Amino acid sequence: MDDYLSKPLRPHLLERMLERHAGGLPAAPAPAPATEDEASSVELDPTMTRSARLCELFITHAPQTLKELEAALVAGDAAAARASAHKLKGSCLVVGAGLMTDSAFAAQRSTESADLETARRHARDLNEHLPRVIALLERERSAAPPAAVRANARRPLIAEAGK
Amino acid sequence: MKADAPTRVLVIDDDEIARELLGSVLEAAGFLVYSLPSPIGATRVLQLNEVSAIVLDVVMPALSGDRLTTLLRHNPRFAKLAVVLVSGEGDAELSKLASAVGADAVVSKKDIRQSLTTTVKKALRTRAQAYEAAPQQSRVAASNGKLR
Repeated sequence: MDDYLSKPLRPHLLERMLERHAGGLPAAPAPAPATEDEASSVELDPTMTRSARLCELFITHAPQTLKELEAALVAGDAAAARASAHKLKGSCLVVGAGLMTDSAFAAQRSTESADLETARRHARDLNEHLPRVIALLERERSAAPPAAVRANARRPLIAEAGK
Repeated sequence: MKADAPTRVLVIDDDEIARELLGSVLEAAGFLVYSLPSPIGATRVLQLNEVSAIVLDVVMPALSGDRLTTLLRHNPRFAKLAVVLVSGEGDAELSKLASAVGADAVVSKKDIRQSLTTTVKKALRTRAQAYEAAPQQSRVAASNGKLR
């Protein structure tokens, strides 16, 4: 094996790799910022506003939900897998993680038709995307103003709601 | 409740990430937000806090949002409560479900930032009109409850 590309396939990266290997061109320089931005925007919608708290919650909870999905698929529990895939899809939708949303939705649909093998494939895709999305959210979280966190902290606590 | 007091909204979603976004968007619009991770205890929160609207995820363990809506709609005490269903499913599917169970409005999870505030305000107006148009008997039952 001379090289690899991770999914999802991005035409500009494939083209660059083919040029390098088939055409004997020198190794391509590091991606220009515009290309990197383009790749990032596929993973995480740059037009969405996300508070530091929202980033933090995704970073904390999404890996756990994905683990629950994988465990349900290993156990052959289609109902539990569907519930986890649905929950993960919702989480991905609200942070604007486009490719993860698609994979979670596909996993959910596969569990609904009891096609757990296909669902496992989508779970593997989710595992590939998750570290990239988390890295982007980490970057956003560290850049977000602290005020965003303080504003959210004013909400009445769940425990207080019934008082 | 004082006339200038913020309108109170209860958000219920088992996904903490979605719950955070729903709450923060509504707070930014001036609502006072209560939140729960499941429908368990919802009626108590609604009654004790004079909540005017409820924003509900559809798919939740234990009790789905549409099932809770049905239960609320069969309770005259909550006749004035505006109900908004939220889901990651398709808009058409969600609207059909909302219509079947008596919810006042729907929001797709992908549109929370753009649409939630206007949808909740619209649902409050819709519910107020429906309440005014309802038979006097239903309104008396609602006003006898703690929810106002």
